[in-house]
Amino acid sequence: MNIADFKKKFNSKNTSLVQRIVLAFIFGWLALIIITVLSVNLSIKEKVTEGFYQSEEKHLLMLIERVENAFEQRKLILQQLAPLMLENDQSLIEEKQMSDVLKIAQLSNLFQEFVVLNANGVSIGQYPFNPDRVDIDYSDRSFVRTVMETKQGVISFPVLGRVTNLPSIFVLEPILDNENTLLGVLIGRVALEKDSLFHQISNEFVRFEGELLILDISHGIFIAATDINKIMQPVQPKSVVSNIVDSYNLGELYKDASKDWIYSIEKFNSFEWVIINLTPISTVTELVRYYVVDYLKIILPLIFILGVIVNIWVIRIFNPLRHALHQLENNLLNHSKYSSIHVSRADEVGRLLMAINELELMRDKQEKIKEELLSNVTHELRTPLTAIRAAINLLSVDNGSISKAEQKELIALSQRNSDKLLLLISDLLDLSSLSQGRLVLDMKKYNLYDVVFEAVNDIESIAINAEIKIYLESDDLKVFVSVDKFRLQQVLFNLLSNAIKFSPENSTIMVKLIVDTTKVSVLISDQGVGISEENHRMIFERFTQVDSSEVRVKGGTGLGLAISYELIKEMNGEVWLKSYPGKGSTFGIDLPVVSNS
Amino acid sequence: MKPLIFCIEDDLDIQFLLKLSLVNLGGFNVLFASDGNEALKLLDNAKPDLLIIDWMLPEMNGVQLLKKIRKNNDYSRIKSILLTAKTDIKIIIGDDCLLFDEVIIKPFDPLKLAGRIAKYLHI
Repeated sequence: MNIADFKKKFNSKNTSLVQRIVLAFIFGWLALIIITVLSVNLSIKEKVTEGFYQSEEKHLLMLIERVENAFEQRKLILQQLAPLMLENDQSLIEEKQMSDVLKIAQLSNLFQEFVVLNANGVSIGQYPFNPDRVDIDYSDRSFVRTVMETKQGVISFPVLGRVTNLPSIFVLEPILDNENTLLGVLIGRVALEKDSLFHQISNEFVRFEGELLILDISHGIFIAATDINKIMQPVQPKSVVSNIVDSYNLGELYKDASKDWIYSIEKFNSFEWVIINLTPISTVTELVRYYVVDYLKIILPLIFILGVIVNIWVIRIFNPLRHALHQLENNLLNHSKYSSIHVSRADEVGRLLMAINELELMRDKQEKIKEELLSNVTHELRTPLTAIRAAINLLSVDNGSISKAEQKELIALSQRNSDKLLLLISDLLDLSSLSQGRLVLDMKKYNLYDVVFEAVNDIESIAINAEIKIYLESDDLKVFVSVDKFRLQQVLFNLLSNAIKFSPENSTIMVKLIVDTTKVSVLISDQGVGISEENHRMIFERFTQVDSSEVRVKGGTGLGLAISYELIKEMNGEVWLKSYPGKGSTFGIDLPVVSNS
Repeated sequence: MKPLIFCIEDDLDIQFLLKLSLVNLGGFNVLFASDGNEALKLLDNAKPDLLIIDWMLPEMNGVQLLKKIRKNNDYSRIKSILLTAKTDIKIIIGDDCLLFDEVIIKPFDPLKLAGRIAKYLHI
């Protein structure tokens, strides 16, 4: 699959890494935002509710104090008034006088009416005057009796006035002479539906559609309420209010038909009363929302900006990679010459890009080697061909400019060069087969010593021509190997002729067989110029000889060593070299020993 | 006076062919050297009119040799021909091609070689 196909196949799936990371971040950011909003909502709600309750509690306690003070005040007034109903501290004053005193007292506006009862509980004086209230017996009222019996002041529970029929609380004070005999009762009526105290309170307190209630819990009736119609009504069992009173806990409550309420409740100290404040829950939630919005108005934009910045930062981290990818794909699609990707940071991405650069360089290098090889091969083939063609052309000249002797030489030359060409071509084919793993070897068991002996014999004449002596030595005269005899001889011939080529005149070449438990080595040592360490590897490569790659091959095809190396490898052996400049060279062939069975 | 062609070529067979082409067919005089050092030494005494230099020489290649030869004032403008079997020679030596008056890629036609050289000698 090439790049173009790859891209096409995955285009629809949109697998950009960067996009996926950005999406993940966006998702994370959204989650973060939602969590923030929820938690802010929650914590602010708690705080607001808490604060709400605290301020409610304060208010209610304050109200209780005011109501109790108010009643205290009224009680005091009556306590001061009571003696004024006496003459000489001994008997009650006349009704007319009573009226006058009470009239003045009424100016304080603390009571709607005053009534004075005699010692039997019958009304004998009042202000303002109401004819229905004359000579009425009040002794059936429990609180009247209590005063008469205990001779202590009393505050009644809420009742409907006998005469007025209005919801009232009565403040009663005994009228006592200086011997502590009860002479009468002074009563002041606090009008629940009109009394400024309660109205004042409920007006003050009404806000956000809430409700303020004061209950007498011992009698189960409403004393005061934002809704006047509730006054004196009994508290219904299982109603919202009844439940509140029963549980007497602060808390969020109650589903009414139309509303959810939260309430605060406090007990009075001097009376069996409670004061309740009901607030619709929407008040609190409104407040919460207000604060939340306020807070989020700042936080959310910050989170958003932060998110954007982080996203940009993350994308930028990937920029070198994307840039490099782009460059790489371009290179591949356009087959343009590879230009190294610039790497600015040694992180994972950077290292990947460096590795790619390295790979490309290696590939480039290999391409170059291949090209060089091809160039070398064509060159090597053309050279003998040149000679043959030129020779044939010259042979076709028959005008006498070329002598018979010269013609003979031209023919010999052609033969030499066509042999050379043939050799070269077979070597090239060998090498090609070897590198593709297609060379077929005919492996059989042979006595290595015999094979080497033959090779040394065959090359004797060449050695003599070059005035070089060859000696053969061996640990064993019988050592068996599994080889392709023809090919092994090819290798031996190559190494021996090399040794001869590179040996000075009158020098010696030593051929030694060394036998080991597992392997046998054939060593061919010459006394030539030697090969430096750095060139050891190079000489096994094709077409090279020591000096430089530009140097003319010193006879031969230049492929011999490369082929020898590969052939011995195919025979499970190894060709190696030991040499130092100026100290000659030793080429070695290692082969595994096989048993003679 | 017959023009003297100085050939620096290490392959003896090619030397022989060149001799037949230039002397027998072309009527020139030839002088041979097998490598750069030998060539420079011979130049002390000889006075060639044209150089034929093979690219693949031992120890220094044809371009290096020509540059060395050109250092000598007498030969700074001597006509020269590069001979090589390397088909990609122009890639290998690049602009150095221009140092030579001609680049001949082997195989060369011996029957025509003399004619080509004559052109450079203004004959």
